[in-house]
Amino acid sequence: MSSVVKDTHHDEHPSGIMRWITTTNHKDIGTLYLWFAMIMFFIGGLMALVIRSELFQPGLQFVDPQFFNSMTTMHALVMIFGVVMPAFTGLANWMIPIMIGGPDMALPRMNNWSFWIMPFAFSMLLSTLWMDGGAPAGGWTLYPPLSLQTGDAFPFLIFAIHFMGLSSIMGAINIVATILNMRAPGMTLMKMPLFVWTWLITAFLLIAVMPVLAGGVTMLLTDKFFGTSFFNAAGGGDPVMFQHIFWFFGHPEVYILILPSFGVVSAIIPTFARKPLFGYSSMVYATASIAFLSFIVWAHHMFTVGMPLAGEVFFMFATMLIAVPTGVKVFNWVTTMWKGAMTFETPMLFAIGFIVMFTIGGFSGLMLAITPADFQYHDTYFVVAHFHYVLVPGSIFAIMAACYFWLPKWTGNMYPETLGKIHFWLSTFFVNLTFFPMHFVGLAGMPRRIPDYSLQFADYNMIASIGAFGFGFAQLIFLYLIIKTIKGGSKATDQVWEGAEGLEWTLSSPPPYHSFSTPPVIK
Amino acid sequence: MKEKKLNIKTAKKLIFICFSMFLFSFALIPLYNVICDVTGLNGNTSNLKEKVDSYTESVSSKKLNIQFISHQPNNKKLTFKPSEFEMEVSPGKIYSTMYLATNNTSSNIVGQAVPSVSPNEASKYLKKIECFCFEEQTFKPGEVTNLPLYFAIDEKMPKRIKTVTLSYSFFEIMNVSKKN
Repeated sequence: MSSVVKDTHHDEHPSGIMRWITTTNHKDIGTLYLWFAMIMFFIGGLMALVIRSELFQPGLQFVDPQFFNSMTTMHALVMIFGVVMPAFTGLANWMIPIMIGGPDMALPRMNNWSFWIMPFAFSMLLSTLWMDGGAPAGGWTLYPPLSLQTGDAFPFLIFAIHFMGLSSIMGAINIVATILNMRAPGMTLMKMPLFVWTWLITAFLLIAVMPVLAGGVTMLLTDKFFGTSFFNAAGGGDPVMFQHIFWFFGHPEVYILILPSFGVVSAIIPTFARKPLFGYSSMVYATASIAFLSFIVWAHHMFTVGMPLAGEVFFMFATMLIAVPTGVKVFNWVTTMWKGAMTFETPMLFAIGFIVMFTIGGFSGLMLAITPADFQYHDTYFVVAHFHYVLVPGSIFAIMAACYFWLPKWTGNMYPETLGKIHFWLSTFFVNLTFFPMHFVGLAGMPRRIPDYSLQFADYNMIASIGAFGFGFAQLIFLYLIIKTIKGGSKATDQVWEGAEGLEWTLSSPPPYHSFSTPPVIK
Repeated sequence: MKEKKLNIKTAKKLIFICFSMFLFSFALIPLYNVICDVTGLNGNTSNLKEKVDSYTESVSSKKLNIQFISHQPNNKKLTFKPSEFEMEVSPGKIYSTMYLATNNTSSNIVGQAVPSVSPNEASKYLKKIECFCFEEQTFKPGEVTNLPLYFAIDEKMPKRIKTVTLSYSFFEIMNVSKKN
């Protein structure tokens, strides 16, 4: 990436590796976050392929069940904490200062620190794969007492989670401080791009719930090593208590993983529809409502633990209520496209793919919200299908859309458009081939987190495995395309896209190492 | 450097929120217990002796079934089961039954039984007058122990509840048994 900044003014910084280790520049740190997410994406993807190889046919073929369970657990931890969260933080680092006309992030030294904790956290987590007793295999939700039976890996897992949490909290504090204090004069809150708005709300969610996760896993740690009984029934504790604490974190967490995607899509759709976003303020209020509701729905993950009827009814209706602000968003995106002069460049394709497939995931979420139906769906592949639809063609597609959308701005070069479109169509085809059949096997009763299954599920599982390998290999195109664009290509203009509006498009492509040292004038 | 001061001020406020949320996660434990005790959710029954005299005055004519079940550690060290599995009881009257525990090992087993009531709603109305679950139990090697239980059902028990299940899970207290 050094070519990106070579010909800009006053870019005094150490060269080579020290540039990246000591950097406090928001663009450098954004790049680091994005590359970190890319590496983790392939590691987590490899784990998914181990899972899908084993499930290609019924019976045990390649791995033993313990290792299989490690793979499902580690795949989830890597993809959530190592891919989606850092990728969005990377986008925030790159884009937020130049979207609001600020010179850099508010707390640049802390910014450096919050990135460089991540490689240590994940080395610690991944090192558990080679430990006695194996990597954590009790599921990413870490329910006791099962998770307390983890071998030597247990303290490494807990401290890795502490470090990831610390990193995201510091990132979030930085983002809130940047958005509140570093805006150019005239950039009022209600003039901010929606990506900035969604990130402001996401950052508050992070600040509110990551410490709760840290508290919960600390209790697990003391239960295992220091004789406390927070979750141990023999000592007067209750394992269900952990589930309440975990999902009090866990449900806002799923919105942390999706809200920035809403921001990305809200930036891309108006650009390629060549119309301003429909219902800007309703989008802001919808995001805030989703964030608020996310705190009062956590127990819908636990309908089958034996809650009283009143609780089940409350959590069912509160959960269904979330469909309203989400529906407002989908409606606004569709209305923005309505009668627009649309063109279908790769970022737009990913954004439209996001709207369609995220909505499919949203609908299966509504099915799961219905308490009596959930007793049937709970812990089946239907749940797996649901959350993969909102996370892969949801969050991941939005991240890819963002990369295609801003890559010409970041590098100064256009990416090869045809290859980008091939990447989109292959990804879309294979992602549906992988996850759509999971709805059927789930409704038919196939349990999740299981290395073997009954014969009647064989055909759909084979289809899903073929899809997973197709999707995995299609992502190599993405990697190749990004490296190729960084190295060269046709030069991008400052505005890059015909319909693009916003401060970031007034800068040169690539932007100077230090941008907006003097604040821009906002009309 | 007014801006820098402002940023640090904002960061301090946010760190304070973080810290309070960390403490809140620990506060959830007592909160949860208080809510469960007050409402009787989660099948938590009181582990305290109830006053005897309040239940001997009037005996209601309606009957209901009470079932006894047990959960023992799955290491076969202890056999722990109720002496009778089902009883027909009238609310307001005191009944007694027995659980039996056999220590199958050659060393002492120390532990405690933890009660749970299903349906959750019934837990408020099941009153224990004397129960082995109030204290720790020590079982000598090879010994068969009778564990008495005296209880009554409150007359206020909702009529729609026809069957109540009382379950005891026995948990070994590991550190103590190792010392012996």
